[in-house]
Amino acid sequence: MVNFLIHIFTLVAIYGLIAISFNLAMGYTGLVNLGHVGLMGIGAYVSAILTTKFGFSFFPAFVLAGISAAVFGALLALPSRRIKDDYFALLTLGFMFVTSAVFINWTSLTRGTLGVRGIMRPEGFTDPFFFFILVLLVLAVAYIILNQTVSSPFGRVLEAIRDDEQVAESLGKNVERAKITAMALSGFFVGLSGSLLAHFLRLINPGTFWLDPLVLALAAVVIGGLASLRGSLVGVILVFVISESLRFFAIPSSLIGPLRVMIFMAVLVIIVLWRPKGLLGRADLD
Amino acid sequence: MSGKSSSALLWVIAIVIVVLGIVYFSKPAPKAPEEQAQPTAQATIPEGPIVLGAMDPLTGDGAVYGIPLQNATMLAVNEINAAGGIDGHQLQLVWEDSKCNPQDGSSAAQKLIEVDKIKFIVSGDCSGAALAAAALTEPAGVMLFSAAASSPDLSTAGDLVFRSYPSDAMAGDVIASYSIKKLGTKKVSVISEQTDYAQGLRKSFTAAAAEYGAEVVADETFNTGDTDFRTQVLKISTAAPDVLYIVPQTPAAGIQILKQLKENGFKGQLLVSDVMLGSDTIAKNKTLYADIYSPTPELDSTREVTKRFLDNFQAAYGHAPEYPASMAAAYDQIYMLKDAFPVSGVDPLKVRDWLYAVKNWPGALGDTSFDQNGDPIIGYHIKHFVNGETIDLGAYTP
Repeated sequence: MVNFLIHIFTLVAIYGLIAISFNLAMGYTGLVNLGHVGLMGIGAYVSAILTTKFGFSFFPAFVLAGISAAVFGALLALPSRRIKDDYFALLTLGFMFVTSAVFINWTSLTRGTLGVRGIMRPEGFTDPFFFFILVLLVLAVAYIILNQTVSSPFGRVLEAIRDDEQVAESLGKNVERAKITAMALSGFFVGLSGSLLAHFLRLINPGTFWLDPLVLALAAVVIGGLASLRGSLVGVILVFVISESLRFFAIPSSLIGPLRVMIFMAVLVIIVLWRPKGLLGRADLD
Repeated sequence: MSGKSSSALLWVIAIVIVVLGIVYFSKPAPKAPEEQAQPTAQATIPEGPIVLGAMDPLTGDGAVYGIPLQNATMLAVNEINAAGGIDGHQLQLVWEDSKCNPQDGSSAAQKLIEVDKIKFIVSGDCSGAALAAAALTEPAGVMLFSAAASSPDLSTAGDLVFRSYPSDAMAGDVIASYSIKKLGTKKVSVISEQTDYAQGLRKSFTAAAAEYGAEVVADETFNTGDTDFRTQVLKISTAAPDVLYIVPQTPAAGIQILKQLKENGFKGQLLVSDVMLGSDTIAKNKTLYADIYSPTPELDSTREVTKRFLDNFQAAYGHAPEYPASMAAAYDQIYMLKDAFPVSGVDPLKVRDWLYAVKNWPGALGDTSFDQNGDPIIGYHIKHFVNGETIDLGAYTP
């Protein structure tokens, strides 16, 4: 049992990292970046390919994973000046489809749908418990950095942009640079989460970075509440508690798959109806 | 409030980690699985039901295969239980949804190993989930027995990893050998879908073709959901191959390709992979199956066990099996374990040895033996389709 708990807690911590970085872009800056999981995939593939094909050790590959996802995050922010709100969400969703197509089709590098195999856990962290501690440390550092960011004057600029971009601009704030910085920072941390996930699962394929993790992360952020890092962590914990505890209900085998998904989604809907702003949310997206 | 609840949250997390660490490190270190099974005079099955883990993609895109495979697995389980079980022990399956991705595959396997203390996991299809699960089952000394996960990667995923459906590597080899040695082709081409199954076949086909001395003049791919293949068809036609091997993931895409090849007036010989062999598909597209070869594991309905599988499935679910060959593999794997347990007990290492030792085990899919990678050696038959009629050209080994 304890190994199963460590396994799930490790996933919770990795998704915590995904969710708080997601919230920086979506909750604080108002950029509904549905390409978040695409950025995570970039981090995962960079880290996996560097360690398995080019002999990098974990930590340089881990940092490069964050940096490459940050670069793509910054690039994604560029069109946000002209393309806003729902259109930005669509654009970034398109980005996710593009990353997936690249993972599938660039077979000489990614092995396509067969995926990258034989990804090793970092030395000294091969034991599941120590790997969990490593993930937790990364999450803690990311949380502190993001928390500092959002409570700094820069964080208030981001929130001003979310609430009214024109007002922020009329106050002399460099809106474009703030958005790019926010997306790069969000991309950096989700890139790190991708790297951690790759080394945790030891196998990644394009299906790992498709709609399932996006739905999970989006649900966690919305349930936890926008513009609340703590809320995102609570959201992730709640989402995992609900979905994992459903494994322990006796459900006839012919219904087990669909029924679990239905119960899970119904609970999420009830929570959102009960607390439309999320559990600890402070902001609304129009 | 924010400060207070923040530090409360931190305290809770810290306490959970400390408790988890204490429990984790106070456990005796897990014994490394012994390489050799200890011979004992009499295999014994512990009291009570035999509980196996099972995982298949039950929701999402993979469910089109996962649910039929689950049905075939449950058919075998229900038959065995109705006939009194295995030496009086009923067979129970604990199901998990692998959702056909590595993350859910590994969580499902971890839960079955750790919480249900299961020693055997049977799984239907989906190589990505199976490979991620294998990374956990192998060190834990748990057997992962897959039916239709056909990626060649699975061959080397571990010593306790078996499957009952042949690896893609074998099908690609068989059809390459047949077309080059028997049909005398010199220039081969392939069009394949970007899925793990199809890419596995494509790789083994092109590698085998090169080995047998043919030239691969065109190697085209397409994405899932594509319906227009005219660019690929044109490129292939221009390369003028003697033979084209069509490897889609689903029959629908393959039929589109056949239509567009016909429009283009493609002259080469056509070969298709086994997803194109559904009897419904062929009946509806007789004119397209004018002259096509395909290798398929023999699913010979005149065999008693195959007939039993097909008839019982029809009786239980009211329709014929959707994917007869891979579903027969899922059905066979349960019966193999049924035959193994009374001899080997519920011990993965002994069952492993039993599976390696078994020769020509009579299954619904065919007479099965295993190679050193735990892949089945099953005779392939070459089927020739002439104007929608199926002609069995008999068994063929490269």
